[in-house]
Order: sequence, then C-alpha cells, then structure tokens
Amino acid sequence: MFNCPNCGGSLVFDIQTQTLKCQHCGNSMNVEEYHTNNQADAQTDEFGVHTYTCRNCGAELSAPDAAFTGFCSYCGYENVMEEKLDSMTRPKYIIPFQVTKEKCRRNFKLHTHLPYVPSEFRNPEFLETFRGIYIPYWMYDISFADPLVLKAYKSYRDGDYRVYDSYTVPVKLEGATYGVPYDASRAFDDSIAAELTPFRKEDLKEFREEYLAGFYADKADVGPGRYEKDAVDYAADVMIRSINLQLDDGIWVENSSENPVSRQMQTGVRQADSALFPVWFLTWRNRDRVAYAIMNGQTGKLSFDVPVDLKKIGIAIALSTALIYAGLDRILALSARTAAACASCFTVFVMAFLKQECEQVFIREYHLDDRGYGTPDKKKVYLLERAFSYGFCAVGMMMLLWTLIIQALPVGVTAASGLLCLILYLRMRKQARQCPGSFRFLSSGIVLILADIAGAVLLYLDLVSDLIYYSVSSAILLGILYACRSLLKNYNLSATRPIPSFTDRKGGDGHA
Amino acid sequence: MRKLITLLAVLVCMFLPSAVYAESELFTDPDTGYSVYISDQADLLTDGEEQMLAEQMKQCTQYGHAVFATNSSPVSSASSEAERLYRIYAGYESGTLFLIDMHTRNLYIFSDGENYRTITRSYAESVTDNVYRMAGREEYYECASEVFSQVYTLLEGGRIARPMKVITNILLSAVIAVILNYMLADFSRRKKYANEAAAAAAISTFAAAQVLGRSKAGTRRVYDPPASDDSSSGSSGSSHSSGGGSSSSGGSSSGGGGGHRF
Repeated sequence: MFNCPNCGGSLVFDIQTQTLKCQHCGNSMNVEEYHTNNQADAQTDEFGVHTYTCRNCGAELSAPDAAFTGFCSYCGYENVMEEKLDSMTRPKYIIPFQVTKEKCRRNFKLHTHLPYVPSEFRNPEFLETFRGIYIPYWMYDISFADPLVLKAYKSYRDGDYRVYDSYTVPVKLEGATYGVPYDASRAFDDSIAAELTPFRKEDLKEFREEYLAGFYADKADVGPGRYEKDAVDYAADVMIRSINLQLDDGIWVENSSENPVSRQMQTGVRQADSALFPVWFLTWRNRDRVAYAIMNGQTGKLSFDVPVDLKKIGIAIALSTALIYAGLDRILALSARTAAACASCFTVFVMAFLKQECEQVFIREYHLDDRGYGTPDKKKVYLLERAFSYGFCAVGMMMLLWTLIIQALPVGVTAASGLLCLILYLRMRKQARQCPGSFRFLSSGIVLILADIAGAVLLYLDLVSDLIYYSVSSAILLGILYACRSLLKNYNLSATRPIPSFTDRKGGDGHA
Repeated sequence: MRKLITLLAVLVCMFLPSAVYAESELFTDPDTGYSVYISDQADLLTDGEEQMLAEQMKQCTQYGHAVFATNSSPVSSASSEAERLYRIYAGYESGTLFLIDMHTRNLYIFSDGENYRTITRSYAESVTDNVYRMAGREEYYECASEVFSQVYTLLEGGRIARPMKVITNILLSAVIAVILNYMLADFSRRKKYANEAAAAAAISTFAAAQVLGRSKAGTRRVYDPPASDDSSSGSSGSSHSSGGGSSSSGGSSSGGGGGHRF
C-alpha cells in the first residue's frame, strides 16, 4: 500500500528511526513528508485496509497491505484467516510503536525466569511470533463545573492537647481532563489494558495510516458510551486529587477522592476521540486455552498470563520437599496427636487457595473483569472475597502456630479446620459448578472436609495407639496432596483464558 | 505460735521426701557427681531388674542425674509428678527422669539443665512413643531399659528411630513444598498495575478551585503533651516499677519433657 518513491518497493514503519523505510532499497523518509505527498484520500473518514477474519474465533485484524501470515493472535489457531478488502474508520490519534520487536523479546525473556514457565516461552522461534498490533482506544475529554463541599482540617496545640478542628468548605471547581483512555476492543481484556497503562501522551500524534505499515490494527467494537461513566468517575477522582488548597488561616482541604461530602455532578464527557495504541502480542495455545503475553509498544510494560508446566513444577516440588524435609527433620518432631492437628491446619490454606482459584477461573471464563463485555463492575465484591480467603488463611496460620507452640486442644483445632473448610467450600460451590475443572474443585473440597472430620472424631476418641494418629495425619496429608494436585491442574485454567469467540462481533458500538 | 507451726510444716515438707527417697540412690559418678536414683513406688520391677537397670543407667551419669520412678498414688498429672520428683532427686541440676505413672497410665520423661538441651520435649515424646507398647504389655523393665538406652544414644549425639515421624514429616514437607511453589507461581502472575500517580500523570488535567466559604463542623482534642528533657514525668515512672519484678522465678521453669499414655 505504501510504495517507495525511489524503487516502488514496500515501505514499513521503522521503529528505531520513527521513519518509513523501504524494505527493498533501504530508503528512509519522514511519515509526515510521505503523507503530504500522498494525501489524496487523507481527508476521508475511512481508509482502505485488508481485513483478516479468523474462521475459528471470529476475531478481526486489519493491515494496510496484504501481508498477513500464520495464525490468529487471539485464539492461536493457524491458517484460519479469511482475507477481504475492507475499510476502517480513521482514528483521530495514534501512538506509534517505540519498542522494537528485538527489545520486546529481550524484555519478555526477563519475565520468564521462573523455573516452571513452559519452555516454549523461551524458544526463540516462538518469540518470533510476537506481533505488533494497534489496539483501538477511546480517549475521553471530560469537563467539570461541580460545586463541591469538601472536608478540611486545621490542627494546632493548646497546652498539653493537640486540637483538630474540622470544617466543611464549599468549593466551586472548574476544569477539564483530556485523554482518559479506555480500550475500545472487546477482544482486548480490561485487566490487560489496565496492566499496560499508562500510555504516555508525549508520543501521541495525529493519525496517519503510514504508521500502520508493517503492523496490524484491531477494529473498535465497543462504543464510546460503554466506558463513559467509568471515565467520568475516574477523571473526577484525578481532578479532586489534583486540588491542593490551603486557606489563609492554616486550614487544609483534604484532596482525597474519598473527601467530597456532597457533589452535584455537572461533569460530562465533552467528546471521546478514537486512538490507536501499540502493543506487542504473543499467543500461547494449549488445547482449548490461550495465554497472552502483551507488551505496551510504547513503554515496554508487560501483561503476562503465566501458565505453569506441570512437569517442571512437579520437579520443583520434589526438590523443595527434599530441602524442607532436611530442615524440618532437625527442628520438628511432632507427637502423633499434634501431627494430626497440624495436618488439619493445612487443609484450611489449601481450601482457601482452591476457592481463590475457582473464583479466578469463574471470572476469566465469563469475562467478569471485562467491562467491554457489558458486565457490571464487581471489583469490590471480588476483592472482598479475596480478603475473605486471606482472612481464613490467617486464622489457619494462627491455629498452626498454636498447635506447634502450645500443642494443646488438637480436637478443637481439627474440628475448627473442618468448619472453616466447610464454610469456604459452601462459598465456592456455586461458582465451582459453573467452571471448567469443577469436579476437581468440588471433589478436593469434599476430601479436605472429610479428612478433617475423620481427624477430629479419632482425636476425640482419644485412643492410645500412635499408629492410628499417624495414619490419620498421613491420610489428611494425602488428602491435602490430592487437593494440591487439583489446585495446580486448575491453576492453568485461571492462568490462561478460554478460546475467545467473536462470531457476533460488530463494529462501532455493537456491544454498548 | 501459728507462724511456728507453718514453718515446721514447710520444713517437714522439704525434708520428708528426701528422707523417703534418699535410700534409692544407687550410684554416684565420682567424676561428675551425678547419681542414679530408682524409686519403684508402684513396685513394677524386681530387685534384680532394679540392679540391672541401675547398671544401665550409670552411663547416663556422664551427662546428668538419671532417675527412674514409678507411681501408683493419685496425682494431678504425670508431667507435674515427674517434675516434682525430679526436683526432689536432682534439684535444678542436669539430668533426666523417666516416670511410669500407673495412676494416670502415662509414661513421662522430664529433663533439665544440659540434658534438656538434648532430650527436648519432642525427643522425650519420640522416646516414649517408641516404648509405650512395652508398658502396655507390662514389660516395665524392658520399657525403662529401652528408655535409658535411647536417652544415652541421644546424649552421645546419636539418632533414634522415629519411623512414623519420618513419614509424617515427608508428607508435611511435600504439602509445604506444594503450597510454597503454588504461592510463588501465584505471586508471579499477579497483575502489576501502574500506581495512581503514574496513571494520572498520563492524563492532562486542568483544575481551578474557588473556595466559597467555610463552616466549622467539629473539634477533637487529643492529649499529647510536648516532648521534654525532664525525665521525671510520664513514662520514666514505669521503669522503676518493673525492676526485679520477675527475678523470683529463678530456674524453676527451665526443664521440660514429654510423655505417652500406655
């Protein structure tokens, strides 16, 4: 599409020099210069592209030239792309790529140091499949004319007392924020977009399709209305935090976003401009799951779904077991009853982790963290649930320390562990039933609860023989290991994503 | 008069046990000064068995007193009875006592001093774990003999068999290893979101705020006296009260042990 004026060869955007470079003769030229000389259709709202539609998942990627090779970046399947000549709405702005593919690969390698990341992520051939894609964003301009009543404080000393006077201060706030970004592609998960943030405005340029030369672009399929409220709320928070008021008599106005005691919203989106932001996109597919490694093409910030290689983590666990045993054998010799109580404390940790995993899988499976799918914002609910699991882990830890140090009430500890596991199981059950890997979640939960109940009953019977207690401890620990196996197998469900489906995909505000 | 009676009672209590048990000292190591005591109050061993046991216990006197005691009288717990008897025979010196308490049907090992550094509570429990079946079969001599044999092995720096504990520890290690590796993997996949300041810096913001007035909503007074060089006030007083408060405890709680029912 972009031909070299010298030799007629194809031009691609060279990231290092930020110019158009001929692949044939090596001639370089400025994007603006080239655009000015070839602006015949520059004033139209649309420009011609080759659009490639994945026959498997329905994802669409566009490119200015017919050079698409290989696989679909969203579902990872190969040779399934259908090409058609199409047009694309001209966005207003673009941030051209600043991070080269080489630098992207180097940066990415730094994130694959964990011993159980699948070997494929270190394979140079696989890393060659990093693909430069421009993702559509909406940039909201928001104006404010809000009368606010803010809280303010004054602190001073009066003899042996420190006095804090609190005030309410009516404030007339006027201002605007420009360029609050939200991704306009449903294929691009909000959690990924949030992790890649921020895109710096310094490199923002007026859109020229020449910047796309050699890259791909995703089409906007989420309208500007979808994130309007989020953008307004976010901008209001930023605005309030930017206020820095001190009244002349030492009264400080608190500039926390939690501050406003009353706010009459006269805030509104003045306009939402479309823009294309650069990302490097790597897709790893394992049966019906995909994992993405996506790098901000401007700053090099990475969002990486980290699946684990079960064989590698198995080896890591075996080595860790040997090391821990070597240390544990020197310092720990539990009595039979204490060992059973101690083992039951671990059931709480594993049950809490299972619940956490189950929730992650559930969120991923139904795109509950992606407002692009029209799901309500439930971040607070999920944070509360996570805090709930951590709270139970903390209780489990206290019971474990009690058991190891005080070595008392083993029946109570085991029964309490069973009860905590039951509560966690009941909270997990509904989500687990709708998740992939549900049998593993549910059966592991039941095994843990039964192990605790059996342990509590046998400890309550207060038998003499150690063999029974050691057998109970071993049974509980084996139950935990079964649950841990499920935990690790299901870990890859929550670390990866289901194959996406965009067969109902429409342009513009199709899902708004 | 009342005080005199109380004093006499205390003196009787102090000397009576030693009068009762003094005869049970069977051997004193001339080099270390540590002794072997056997007090078979429940009459579980024959005289011959006591002699054989004493011979075996002699080797432990290189490290501390060696005491074997049996009891059939009502006691609150085997552990408190073991400690009480230990104080009678060995006071606060290094040593190990093995008690077979027929009243609560418990075996208990109590150690103190240097011996307690080796015969810790967990090792005491391991040793009693290894012998409780003998006591259950009424093989009391074999049981006591095995206890002092294993205690000596430990004091010599050796190891004793703890098969079930090995299995439990291996499984426990495996569980800890899985949890740690899972947590490491979970930590590595955590989303690393930009902080609010960095995200906000990427957005152009213009704001002008005009204060329209103010009204006082409340006042809170917190007692917070200014810091002073004068040490006579505030927290300095508390330091005087604590001095020497806990010195009375001495070494009374230094020892410990573990046991097993049979």
